[in-house]
Amino acid sequence: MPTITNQLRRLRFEHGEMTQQELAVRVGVTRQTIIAIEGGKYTPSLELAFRLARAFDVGVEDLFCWKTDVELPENNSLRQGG
Amino acid sequence: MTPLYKEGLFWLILLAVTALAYMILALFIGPIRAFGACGLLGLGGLLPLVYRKQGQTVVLDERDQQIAIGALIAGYSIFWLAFTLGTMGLWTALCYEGQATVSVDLLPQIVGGGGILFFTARAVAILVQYRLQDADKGK
Repeated sequence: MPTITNQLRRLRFEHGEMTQQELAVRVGVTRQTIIAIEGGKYTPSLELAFRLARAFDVGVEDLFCWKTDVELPENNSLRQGG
Repeated sequence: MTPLYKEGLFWLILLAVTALAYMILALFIGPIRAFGACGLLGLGGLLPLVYRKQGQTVVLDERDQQIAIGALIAGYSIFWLAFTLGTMGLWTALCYEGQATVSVDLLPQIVGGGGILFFTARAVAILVQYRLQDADKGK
Protein backbone atom coordinates (compact mmCIF):
# COMPACT_ATOMS: atom_id res chain seq x y z
CA MET A 1 0.00 0.00 0.00
CA PRO A 2 1.52 3.36 -0.98
CA THR A 3 2.37 5.75 1.83
CA ILE A 4 3.62 9.29 1.82
CA THR A 5 6.34 10.09 4.31
CA ASN A 6 7.83 13.50 4.96
CA GLN A 7 10.88 15.26 6.36
CA LEU A 8 8.95 18.11 7.92
CA ARG A 9 10.16 17.64 11.47
CA ARG A 10 13.82 17.28 10.44
CA LEU A 11 13.67 20.34 8.19
CA ARG A 12 12.03 22.42 10.91
CA PHE A 13 14.89 21.67 13.26
CA GLU A 14 17.47 22.30 10.58
CA HIS A 15 15.92 25.71 9.98
CA GLY A 16 16.63 27.21 13.38
CA GLU A 17 14.28 24.91 15.27
CA MET A 18 11.31 26.54 13.64
CA THR A 19 8.15 25.94 15.70
CA GLN A 20 5.05 24.32 14.26
CA GLN A 21 3.19 27.59 14.82
CA GLU A 22 5.78 29.59 12.89
CA LEU A 23 5.61 27.17 9.98
CA ALA A 24 1.81 27.18 10.10
CA VAL A 25 1.68 30.97 9.85
CA ARG A 26 4.25 30.95 7.06
CA VAL A 27 2.30 28.53 4.86
CA GLY A 28 -1.19 29.67 5.91
CA VAL A 29 -2.60 26.69 7.79
CA THR A 30 -3.39 25.87 11.40
CA ARG A 31 -0.79 24.38 13.75
CA GLN A 32 -2.98 21.28 14.04
CA THR A 33 -2.60 20.68 10.32
CA ILE A 34 1.20 20.83 10.61
CA ILE A 35 0.97 18.31 13.47
CA ALA A 36 -1.25 16.04 11.38
CA ILE A 37 1.09 16.22 8.37
CA GLU A 38 4.17 15.52 10.50
CA GLY A 39 2.43 12.56 12.08
CA GLY A 40 1.50 11.18 8.66
CA LYS A 41 -2.18 11.50 9.49
CA TYR A 42 -2.96 13.99 6.76
CA THR A 43 -1.69 14.26 3.20
CA PRO A 44 -1.61 17.89 2.09
CA SER A 45 -2.88 19.19 -1.21
CA LEU A 46 -0.35 19.76 -3.97
CA GLU A 47 -0.54 23.51 -3.40
CA LEU A 48 0.20 23.17 0.31
CA ALA A 49 3.02 20.72 -0.45
CA PHE A 50 4.62 23.35 -2.69
CA ARG A 51 4.14 26.05 -0.07
CA LEU A 52 5.77 23.86 2.57
CA ALA A 53 8.68 23.04 0.28
CA ARG A 54 9.14 26.71 -0.54
CA ALA A 55 9.17 27.59 3.17
CA PHE A 56 12.28 25.42 3.54
CA ASP A 57 13.68 26.32 0.13
CA VAL A 58 13.74 22.69 -0.99
CA GLY A 59 11.97 20.69 -3.69
CA VAL A 60 8.70 18.89 -3.02
CA GLU A 61 10.42 15.53 -3.45
CA ASP A 62 12.99 16.49 -0.83
CA LEU A 63 10.15 17.05 1.58
CA PHE A 64 7.72 14.29 0.64
CA CYS A 65 8.46 10.75 -0.40
CA TRP A 66 5.98 8.35 -1.94
CA LYS A 67 6.73 4.80 -0.92
CA THR A 68 4.94 2.13 -2.89
CA ASP A 69 5.35 -1.60 -3.40
CA VAL A 70 3.76 -1.33 -6.84
CA GLU A 71 6.29 -1.06 -9.68
CA LEU A 72 5.44 1.28 -12.54
CA PRO A 73 5.19 -0.56 -15.91
CA GLU A 74 8.25 -0.36 -18.16
CA ASN A 75 6.41 1.47 -20.93
CA ASN A 76 4.99 4.03 -18.50
CA SER A 77 4.98 7.47 -20.12
CA LEU A 78 6.42 9.01 -16.94
CA ARG A 79 9.51 6.85 -17.30
CA GLN A 80 9.87 7.77 -20.93
CA GLY A 81 10.08 11.41 -19.95
CA GLY A 82 6.94 12.45 -21.75
CA MET B 1 -8.19 23.40 19.22
CA THR B 2 -9.42 24.63 15.85
CA PRO B 3 -12.63 26.67 15.52
CA LEU B 4 -14.33 23.79 13.68
CA TYR B 5 -13.50 21.44 16.56
CA LYS B 6 -14.90 24.05 18.95
CA GLU B 7 -18.05 24.18 16.83
CA GLY B 8 -18.51 20.41 17.06
CA LEU B 9 -17.99 20.53 20.80
CA PHE B 10 -20.33 23.50 21.14
CA TRP B 11 -23.15 21.68 19.31
CA LEU B 12 -22.77 18.52 21.37
CA ILE B 13 -22.85 20.46 24.64
CA LEU B 14 -25.80 22.58 23.47
CA LEU B 15 -27.75 19.48 22.37
CA ALA B 16 -27.02 17.75 25.68
CA VAL B 17 -28.12 20.81 27.67
CA THR B 18 -31.29 21.06 25.56
CA ALA B 19 -32.08 17.38 26.11
CA LEU B 20 -31.56 17.81 29.85
CA ALA B 21 -33.75 20.93 29.91
CA TYR B 22 -36.45 19.03 28.00
CA MET B 23 -36.41 16.15 30.49
CA ILE B 24 -36.62 18.49 33.48
CA LEU B 25 -39.38 20.59 31.92
CA ALA B 26 -41.30 17.46 30.90
CA LEU B 27 -41.58 16.49 34.54
CA PHE B 28 -43.30 19.76 35.40
CA ILE B 29 -45.24 20.92 32.34
CA GLY B 30 -45.65 17.71 30.33
CA PRO B 31 -43.80 16.24 27.36
CA ILE B 32 -45.47 18.36 24.66
CA ARG B 33 -45.04 21.82 26.18
CA ALA B 34 -41.52 20.84 27.24
CA PHE B 35 -40.50 21.01 23.56
CA GLY B 36 -40.12 24.71 24.28
CA ALA B 37 -36.68 23.74 25.60
CA CYS B 38 -35.64 23.39 21.96
CA GLY B 39 -35.55 27.19 21.89
CA LEU B 40 -32.15 26.83 23.54
CA LEU B 41 -30.84 25.56 20.21
CA GLY B 42 -31.14 29.15 19.00
CA LEU B 43 -27.88 29.75 20.89
CA GLY B 44 -26.26 28.10 17.86
CA GLY B 45 -26.54 31.57 16.35
CA LEU B 46 -23.57 32.57 18.52
CA LEU B 47 -21.28 30.21 16.60
CA PRO B 48 -19.67 32.87 14.36
CA LEU B 49 -17.92 34.05 17.54
CA VAL B 50 -15.64 30.99 17.50
CA TYR B 51 -14.50 31.90 13.98
CA ARG B 52 -13.08 35.27 14.99
CA LYS B 53 -9.60 35.78 13.63
CA GLN B 54 -6.95 36.24 16.33
CA GLY B 55 -3.65 37.71 15.23
CA GLN B 56 -1.88 35.88 12.44
CA THR B 57 -3.39 32.51 13.14
CA VAL B 58 -5.32 30.84 10.35
CA VAL B 59 -8.94 30.13 11.26
CA LEU B 60 -9.83 27.46 8.69
CA ASP B 61 -7.52 25.65 6.31
CA GLU B 62 -7.84 22.89 3.71
CA ARG B 63 -7.83 20.09 6.29
CA ASP B 64 -10.64 21.76 8.26
CA GLN B 65 -12.61 22.16 5.05
CA GLN B 66 -12.18 18.47 4.24
CA ILE B 67 -13.32 17.54 7.74
CA ALA B 68 -16.29 19.91 7.47
CA ILE B 69 -17.35 18.33 4.17
CA GLY B 70 -16.99 14.81 5.61
CA ALA B 71 -19.03 15.81 8.65
CA LEU B 72 -21.70 17.39 6.45
CA ILE B 73 -22.03 14.18 4.43
CA ALA B 74 -22.18 12.09 7.62
CA GLY B 75 -24.81 14.38 9.13
CA TYR B 76 -26.92 14.43 6.00
CA SER B 77 -26.69 10.65 5.54
CA ILE B 78 -27.83 9.97 9.10
CA PHE B 79 -30.59 12.56 8.80
CA TRP B 80 -31.84 11.13 5.50
CA LEU B 81 -31.75 7.56 6.80
CA ALA B 82 -33.72 8.42 9.93
CA PHE B 83 -36.05 10.86 8.20
CA THR B 84 -36.96 8.42 5.43
CA LEU B 85 -37.34 5.48 7.77
CA GLY B 86 -39.32 7.66 10.18
CA THR B 87 -41.70 9.11 7.64
CA MET B 88 -42.06 6.34 5.07
CA GLY B 89 -41.86 3.61 7.67
CA LEU B 90 -44.35 5.27 9.96
CA TRP B 91 -46.68 6.00 7.07
CA THR B 92 -46.57 2.45 5.76
CA ALA B 93 -46.91 0.86 9.17
CA LEU B 94 -49.78 3.03 10.39
CA CYS B 95 -51.67 3.61 7.18
CA TYR B 96 -51.69 0.10 5.86
CA GLU B 97 -54.90 -0.31 3.87
CA GLY B 98 -56.23 2.95 5.26
CA GLN B 99 -56.53 1.65 8.79
CA ALA B 100 -55.13 4.80 10.36
CA THR B 101 -53.59 8.14 9.48
CA VAL B 102 -50.49 9.95 10.61
CA SER B 103 -51.39 13.27 12.19
CA VAL B 104 -50.03 16.28 10.36
CA ASP B 105 -49.14 17.63 13.80
CA LEU B 106 -46.29 15.13 13.79
CA LEU B 107 -44.60 16.79 10.83
CA PRO B 108 -42.88 19.65 12.70
CA GLN B 109 -41.62 17.18 15.26
CA ILE B 110 -40.26 14.87 12.58
CA VAL B 111 -38.54 17.78 10.81
CA GLY B 112 -37.25 19.16 14.12
CA GLY B 113 -36.05 15.74 15.20
CA GLY B 114 -34.33 15.31 11.84
CA GLY B 115 -32.56 18.64 12.31
CA ILE B 116 -31.38 17.67 15.77
CA LEU B 117 -30.15 14.35 14.42
CA PHE B 118 -28.32 16.12 11.61
CA PHE B 119 -26.48 18.49 13.94
CA THR B 120 -25.69 15.69 16.39
CA ALA B 121 -24.25 13.40 13.70
CA ARG B 122 -22.31 16.29 12.15
CA ALA B 123 -20.82 17.33 15.51
CA VAL B 124 -19.83 13.74 16.31
CA ALA B 125 -18.29 13.32 12.85
CA ILE B 126 -16.25 16.52 13.30
CA LEU B 127 -14.88 15.40 16.66
CA VAL B 128 -14.18 11.84 15.49
CA GLN B 129 -12.28 13.01 12.40
CA TYR B 130 -10.12 15.38 14.43
CA ARG B 131 -9.47 12.67 17.03
CA LEU B 132 -8.38 10.22 14.33
CA GLN B 133 -6.03 12.70 12.69
CA ASP B 134 -4.59 14.09 15.93
CA ALA B 135 -4.21 10.70 17.59
CA ASP B 136 -0.43 10.94 17.86
CA LYS B 137 -0.38 14.58 18.84
CA GLY B 138 1.59 13.92 22.00
CA LYS B 139 4.45 12.09 20.30
